[in-house]
Amino acid sequence: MASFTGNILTDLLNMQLEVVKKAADAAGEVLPANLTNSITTMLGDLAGTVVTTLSNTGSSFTGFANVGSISDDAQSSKNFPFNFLANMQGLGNVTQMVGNVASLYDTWKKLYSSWMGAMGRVPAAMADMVSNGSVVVGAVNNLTTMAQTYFKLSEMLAPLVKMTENTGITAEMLQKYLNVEEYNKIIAQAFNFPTEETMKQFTDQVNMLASYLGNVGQIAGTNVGELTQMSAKALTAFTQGNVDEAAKIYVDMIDSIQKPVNPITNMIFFGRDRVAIELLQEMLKAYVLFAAQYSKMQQMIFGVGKDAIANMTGYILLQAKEGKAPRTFDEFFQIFIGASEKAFDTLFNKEEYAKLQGELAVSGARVKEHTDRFIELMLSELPIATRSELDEAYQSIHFLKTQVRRLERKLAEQEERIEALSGSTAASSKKTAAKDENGTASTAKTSKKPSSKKVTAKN
Amino acid sequence: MAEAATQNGVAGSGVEKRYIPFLDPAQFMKDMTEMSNKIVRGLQVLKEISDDDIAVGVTPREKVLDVDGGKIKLYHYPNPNVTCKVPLLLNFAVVNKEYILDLQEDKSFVRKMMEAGLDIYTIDWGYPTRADRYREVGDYVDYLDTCVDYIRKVSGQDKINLLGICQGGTAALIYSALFPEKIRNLITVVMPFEFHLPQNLFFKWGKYLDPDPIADAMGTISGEAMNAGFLMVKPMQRLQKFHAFINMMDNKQKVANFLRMERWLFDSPGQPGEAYREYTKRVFQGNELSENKLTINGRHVNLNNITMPVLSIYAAHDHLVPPECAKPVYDKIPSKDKHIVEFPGGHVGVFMSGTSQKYVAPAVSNWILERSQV
Repeated sequence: MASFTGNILTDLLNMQLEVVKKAADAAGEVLPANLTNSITTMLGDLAGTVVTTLSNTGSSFTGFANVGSISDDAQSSKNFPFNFLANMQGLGNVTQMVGNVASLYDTWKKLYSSWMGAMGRVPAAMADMVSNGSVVVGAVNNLTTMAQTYFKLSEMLAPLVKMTENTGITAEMLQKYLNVEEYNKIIAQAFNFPTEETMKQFTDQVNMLASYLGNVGQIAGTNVGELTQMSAKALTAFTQGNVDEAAKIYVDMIDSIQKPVNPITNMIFFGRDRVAIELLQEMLKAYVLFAAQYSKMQQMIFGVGKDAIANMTGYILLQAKEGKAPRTFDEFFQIFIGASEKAFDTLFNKEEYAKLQGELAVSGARVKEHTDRFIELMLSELPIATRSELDEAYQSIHFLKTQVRRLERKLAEQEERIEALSGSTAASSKKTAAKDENGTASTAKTSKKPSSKKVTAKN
Repeated sequence: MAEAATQNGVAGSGVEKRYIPFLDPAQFMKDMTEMSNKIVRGLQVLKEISDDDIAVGVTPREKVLDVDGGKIKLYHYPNPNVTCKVPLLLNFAVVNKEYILDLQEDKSFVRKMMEAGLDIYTIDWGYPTRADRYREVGDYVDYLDTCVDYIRKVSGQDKINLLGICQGGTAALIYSALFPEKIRNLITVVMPFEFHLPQNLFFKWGKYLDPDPIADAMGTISGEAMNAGFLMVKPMQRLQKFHAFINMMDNKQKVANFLRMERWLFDSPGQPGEAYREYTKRVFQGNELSENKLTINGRHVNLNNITMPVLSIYAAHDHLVPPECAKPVYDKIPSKDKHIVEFPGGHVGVFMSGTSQKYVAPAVSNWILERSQV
């Protein structure tokens, strides 16, 4: 009797292990105990990796309700080749699993959009005040972050104002207090960048992923020590800001499970479940790549801070020489905007930035692609149409609609020609007079009007 | 005190310690207090504002045609004062909503042109869903053609006037090149046309944009994503806008105007993946329209067919469609009655600003009226 942990991935992998063992038994071979243990550990770790990954990315994944027990006999007959969805007793669990993958995807979307999409929301308190209509709330919500940014700017100025109150300020003070760190806090608000905590979560997540993969790698034949070293190296690279290098190491580690050197691994993963595992790996790999590029983008944008501060202090000092240094918040604000725009323009015009932005858009698309494929596979046993199947239907409908539309148009043109030909000589002479300046015969001139104001074009 | 210190600037330790005038503490406190007060008053104003206060599309109109199963709609603005028998079709960008041209009572391009005696139609391109992901640029040309034919039929005019704005201008130009026999006068406003602009930011970014994986994965590119790209060009502009908003927060009328614009800005329909892929690769990256190489539905979009009168308006301070992107159309079309006009403002200001209402709408109307005598 197989035991169920309540975690679908652990369960399904355990079930698979049972199947492999039975297959091996049937072949008259007995797996060595240490290898069996290793396989069990690996499967558990792999399931744990998924759970941890989901959890670390903000998912509420907590495992699944116990789906009950299935006898060994029943399993061995039903689950070879592996078919875990068929064994699920209730749609709810499947929905929950898909929901959790979707949750990972949602978290990614937050990252994806925060980089530039969520440019502005008013504080929640302000939005709460507005309760008279969704449109108003929606519009006001768009201003939240901007408000926070705005007030952050006044915080940035506070020490300078204090100095001015007590002693006045010097150029040195200006440079000291208009510092990059404070400026970047404002920029983080303006771009709605995730907090340091969120980024740390990512670091922890990839590190944990590497650790699990290290265990898997042991089975796959990769030296666990080597993987541990890689993991440490990747973490170091990441924390030092070498995100490309870190991502490459992590991706190599994820790849290592896909290139097993041990035939046992091939025995364990086969058929549809192998596809599922591979899709999951691809999804995680895409996520790692996206997050790495996202971090790079952040670094680039934060790098602008230095230039912006230099622009700002330079401008203020220049103005001061002419006795026109800013005296009001409004005046300073305009200098802040101008200096920042200038610094961002410089960054945005760099090939390096354009290239990264393009890569980020593509890696974002890859995350979505792999997530969609994984979810589709999970849903493929259910009596519902998958997205790909619907896409095929949409494509066919589009093709047919286009054909019908064009045939109808041709028909209408032919009817017009027939109408014109069957018309009187007088009508024919009128038609000639209606030729346009290019000598092209006018078409479709008719006094017929639609019988109703609401007409549906059949296309 | 700071000013006095400046005059008595001191030097020490080899570093000049010259006190400079900077924010006046008293003024700063006053500014901050005033800002807080404005926000408090503004919150009260926001609390009083309802969706009705920021309703858009103020001029009555009626739907006259459903296209593609009703996903796309053609509207007509009934006008008892029509003096021009040749109708005008307004074609806005697919990625924005057309009601910006009739946003509010005192800012309605549509109303101004109706007052001038024009008979106006407009297309609502709807909100493409994933089911529409396979729509191509050619489909949009077909839909536009369906609308044009309807108007021609109803009005009894062989040719109608076509005014396209932004991406809708590009579509209008493409359409006019394909069906010159159906267009009497062509007007383009802030129309992107020339894309091989090495110094232009969008061109630089576009070089590295691969539309294939994006279209494949997304199906329909969300309006949010498209918007994000546009906003990213001037990231600090949003902050500046909020600064202005705080200064008007205690004025209900101004807040309502602001929110109407916000509503429009973020009410962005998506773009079908195939159309996005095709437009990005061929019109944007390939510059095929400007180079007179574009084919749609198997037909050459021949710019030499643009022989009808053309009025092209671009905005001097347009960062989305900068002058160098819009202006070259003038030299690429053979029309003998062509005019290109610079508007001293930005991309949206050209049809939304007070100047626009006062000068642009009447001027465009007059230009059309002069060329629409039947």
